[in-house]
Amino acid sequence: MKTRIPEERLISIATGESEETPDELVILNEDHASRVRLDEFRALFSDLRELPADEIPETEMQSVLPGVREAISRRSWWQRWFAVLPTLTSRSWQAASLAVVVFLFVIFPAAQSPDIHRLQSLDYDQTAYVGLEASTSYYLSEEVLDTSTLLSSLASDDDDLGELDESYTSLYADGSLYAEIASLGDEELALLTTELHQSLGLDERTQ
Amino acid sequence: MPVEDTDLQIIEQVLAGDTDAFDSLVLKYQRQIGAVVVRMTGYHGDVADTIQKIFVKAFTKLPTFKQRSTFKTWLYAIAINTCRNDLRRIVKARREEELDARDFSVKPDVEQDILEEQRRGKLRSALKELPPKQMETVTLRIHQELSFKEIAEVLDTSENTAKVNFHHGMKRLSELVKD
Repeated sequence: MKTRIPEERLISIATGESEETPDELVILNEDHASRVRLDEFRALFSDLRELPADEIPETEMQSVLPGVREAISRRSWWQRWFAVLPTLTSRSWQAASLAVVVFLFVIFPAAQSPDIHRLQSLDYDQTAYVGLEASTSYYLSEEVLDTSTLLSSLASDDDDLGELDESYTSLYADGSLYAEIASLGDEELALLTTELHQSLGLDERTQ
Repeated sequence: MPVEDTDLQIIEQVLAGDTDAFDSLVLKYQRQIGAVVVRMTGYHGDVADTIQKIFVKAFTKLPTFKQRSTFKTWLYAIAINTCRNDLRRIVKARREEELDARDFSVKPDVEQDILEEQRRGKLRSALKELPPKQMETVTLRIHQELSFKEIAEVLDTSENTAKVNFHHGMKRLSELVKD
């Protein structure tokens, strides 16, 4: 018969994990040291169980749920986006990546080109001029600009930029106006540009 | 699987996009998680923040919950890990607050209270001196009344290791309170 009960076993008995076997009961009756040690573990277990935890004030407990809700709502939109990623197939993921790359390196820089910045920095008169220049160039290249109509329109109101703006707008409104310009040669185009400059009263620096 | 039906239903609702359903899990477990936090770290001024952090982590990780354990033990595991990560900051704050609180809590004219407080203080100190795994195991076993199987799930270890940690912890505590 054993004369001592291992401490692991005493702890199991003291903490209620298991009960003493008949043999162990005999040992405990005979072996004072084992009995004392068992009592020590029982007392320790009891003290630990009764050891009060620090209490959390009710106001703090009541603040938990609102705090969790707020944090979750902040994360939700991010989660919705990232939740999509694992569902993407390899091909769609590649397409999405390509779209991001195209936007970042092609579309966005183009939208921010120096010409755009320059245009944004122009005042009303200058903008009207640049608009006329651009539209003239465009319709010339597209062979739809009507030179005579344009010139007559500009000549009739060459000091009135408000009217000029209307003329400028009309360039876009009625494509039939520009049909005649299609036949313009280089010299005629140069003449048109000169006429435009004179009509607008703007010097060459604004070009 | 051993997940409680109600918890599982709520989890499914949350995963389906009904984030408000998570409220009921917070309300159901916030006190138990609070108890784990204060047992692990003692009371400190940021307890509510720590509990919030635990639940937000649980919400974030919910899609990874594989139902190999109950939601409760899974949540306890997050709580234990959060407490471990925050322990240095929390312990520092707690010590300062304990020093402040001690001035008000001790009643020098009541000898019994002093002795009782000293005994509890000694036991608390002894718990803090245990290696982390032993302290966590003893706390989860005695104060949260988890089984060794559940403790093993929380601490990501084997049931046998949990038992060994518990026995070593109890033996060490016994020696420390005798000193």
